[in-house]
Amino acid sequence: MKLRPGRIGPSLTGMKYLIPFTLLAAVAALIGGCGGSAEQPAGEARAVTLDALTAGPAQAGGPVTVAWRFTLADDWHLYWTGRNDSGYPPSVALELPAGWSAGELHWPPPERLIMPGDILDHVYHHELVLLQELAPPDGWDPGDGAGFPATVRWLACREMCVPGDTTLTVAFPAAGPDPESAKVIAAARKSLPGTLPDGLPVWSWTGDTLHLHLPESKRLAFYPDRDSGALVDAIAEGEAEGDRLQLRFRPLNGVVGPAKGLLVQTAADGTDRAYHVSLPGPASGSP
Amino acid sequence: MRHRNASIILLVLLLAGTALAGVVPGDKAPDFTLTDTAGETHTLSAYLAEGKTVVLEWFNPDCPFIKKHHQDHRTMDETAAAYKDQGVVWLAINSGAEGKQGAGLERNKKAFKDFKMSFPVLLDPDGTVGRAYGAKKTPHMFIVTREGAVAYMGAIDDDAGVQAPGKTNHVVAALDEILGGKPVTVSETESYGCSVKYAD
Repeated sequence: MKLRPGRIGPSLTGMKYLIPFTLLAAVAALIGGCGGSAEQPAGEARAVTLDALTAGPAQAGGPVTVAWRFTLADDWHLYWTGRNDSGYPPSVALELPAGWSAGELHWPPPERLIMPGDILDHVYHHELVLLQELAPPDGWDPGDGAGFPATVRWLACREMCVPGDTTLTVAFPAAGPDPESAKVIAAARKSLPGTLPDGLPVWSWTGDTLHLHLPESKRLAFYPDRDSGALVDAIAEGEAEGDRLQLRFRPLNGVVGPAKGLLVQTAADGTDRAYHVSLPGPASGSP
Repeated sequence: MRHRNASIILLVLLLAGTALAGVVPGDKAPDFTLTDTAGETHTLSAYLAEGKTVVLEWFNPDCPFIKKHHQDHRTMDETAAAYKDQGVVWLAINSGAEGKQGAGLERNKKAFKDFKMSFPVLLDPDGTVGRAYGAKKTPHMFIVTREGAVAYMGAIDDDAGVQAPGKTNHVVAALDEILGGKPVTVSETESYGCSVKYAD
């Protein structure tokens, strides 16, 4: 089993959402990873514990961040939301009160995990923090302290796979700063993938091969989204030393490309940064 | 002569690399002979010679996604039964290595009985057949036409969770087109499930 650690350095993307909320941990639901399944041998530590953290009270008209923090027992992993050869990513279903709205989940960059049989997954070990913005309606009174249910599902795997789920209550107490929660959320924001400046990466197609160039890279890797085109050999070609990456695509139901996913750059100082990329297929020509 | 030998070695390596990468729709399906949990042997080319269309389902009885389709719901057996009289043979293949989750003769014998399966479970403990096809998940579905070509590969349906079966059964859609003499509209989907537990 080969594992490439995903060390990701600071990224500016997501910082625009950083809200000066002051407080509080709302929910600390503790959930077993087995979800009642008999898959996990008796006596073993639970694969997954989950808690939901909020950095501040819900304020009328403004978003509030919820952090879904999964803590994993040793050797277990959860799945990224992009393309994997197995598993499925955690999901959150909210039963929001009238007038509330919820944004999408924000995912940190995963690690590449290659298993026997050329099985390539993108996963998280130890801890996964997903951020989500929620917005109460105008007129919302933070003093209400009301909560609402959320159902979270996941699949945790190591040698075996164990589905888990729980329903917990997300609550927003009216006051009380919680620097620990704010710290967790701020750290999670820093790890989120960013967006490259215009013109980067430099890219072109030769036939069905995409050439990527990102200067000042010691190493590059591409993690495809689920709606990305099909790669010929994601394991061998999905990462390379240096500042260039060549990805061969093959037709998927008759279409080659696009290339959508994360481009992960290891800089000269060894730090990693991940960036969202979305490039059209060869039918559109090169820029 | 030395150059020629080197070329031959390179060609063999390239071919080996191709085989390891698995198949894609349109490829010739790799032939195989495997033994099921009852000791019967099954050879793909023999089924094709009889004019059969063959559905391959990668299988692990302890995978939650297999339980969803074999235990909690009857997706696989019901689909297999619906096409049995139309010349479709359905084979489950377990490419898990001895000692891995869901692998081994006894475990699969028990699963065959517990799941009340109407089609055989073939054992591929060294993973040769699984790797030749590029099977990565359980379930991972492949349809081989009577002519021996891979016509579909991917998921059984469009619900990647472990609870409910999907609304669209991709294998049904592909089989209907194949048996109707039409090209398969969706020849590849992203499969979902557990990883195949190959030998390390």
